[in-house]
Amino acid sequence: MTDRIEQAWARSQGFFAEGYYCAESVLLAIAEYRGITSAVLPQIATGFCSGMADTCGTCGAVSGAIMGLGLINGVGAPGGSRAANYTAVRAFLRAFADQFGATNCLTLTGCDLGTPEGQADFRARNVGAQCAEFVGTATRLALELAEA
Amino acid sequence: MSEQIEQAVARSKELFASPLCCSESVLKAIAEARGVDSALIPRLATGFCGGIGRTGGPCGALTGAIMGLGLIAGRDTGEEPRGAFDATVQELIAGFEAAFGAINCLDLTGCSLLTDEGRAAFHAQNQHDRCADYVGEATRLALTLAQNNK
Repeated sequence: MTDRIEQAWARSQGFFAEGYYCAESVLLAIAEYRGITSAVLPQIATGFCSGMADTCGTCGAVSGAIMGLGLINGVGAPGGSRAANYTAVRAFLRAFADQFGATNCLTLTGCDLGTPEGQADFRARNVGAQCAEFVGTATRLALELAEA
Repeated sequence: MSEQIEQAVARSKELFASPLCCSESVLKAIAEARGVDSALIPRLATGFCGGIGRTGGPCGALTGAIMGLGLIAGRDTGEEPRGAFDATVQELIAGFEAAFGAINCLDLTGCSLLTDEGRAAFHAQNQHDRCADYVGEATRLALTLAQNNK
């Protein structure tokens, strides 16, 4: 990990500790790494946090990284190629799943955040600490792949 | 459906007929409808095309709409509550699933876009036309919910 990527890794976890949620934290850290500021950040990521608004969907850290990869090599104008972005996105999904065994919030946390029981379990087992790892690793993997 | 929302639905389908993909088309149509002009749109949405880089995951039209709702009512700081916003996203997902019976690209299209066979079937079945419906409906649902829930 380069010093700058290590810094972004730490920043993503810092955002998460400050009260930003998973998808927001990863996207903010990747944007900052690339020197991007915008009024649409992190608001565009809010609905992806906690597995798409507590619906047991894709891990928010994963979604934040996919948006972050879009900042780096997404299509800026009609007619642009998506090949580089798709390659990075798929490599990212594989690397994240290799490390944690899944890319889905329910599988990763073991908690159905759409229920009061699931939310209580999330707090009781301090799953947020694991999510901080997902946030930091998603940031690092996305940046390593983008820089590769 | 208000005239403005109807226009945005038509615009999302028009963008989808251009070289923009599903998630990009929905996000851009919602941004235009709401007067949001950003150099980051639609590039933020590219990776969500085809169920995340064509991997068959969550429908790109739906994820584009989740990004669009974020433009309208997402958080600017880590202190803002998100309960009402999350409820709107949940309504969007439930509304989309009620309309089409699934929220995943693979389930909706029946085609694995990662394989040559899957892409050939996608074209042979004119699946792109159905995806245009997902694009239009996701745009309509998001803008309607944003209007009703503000």
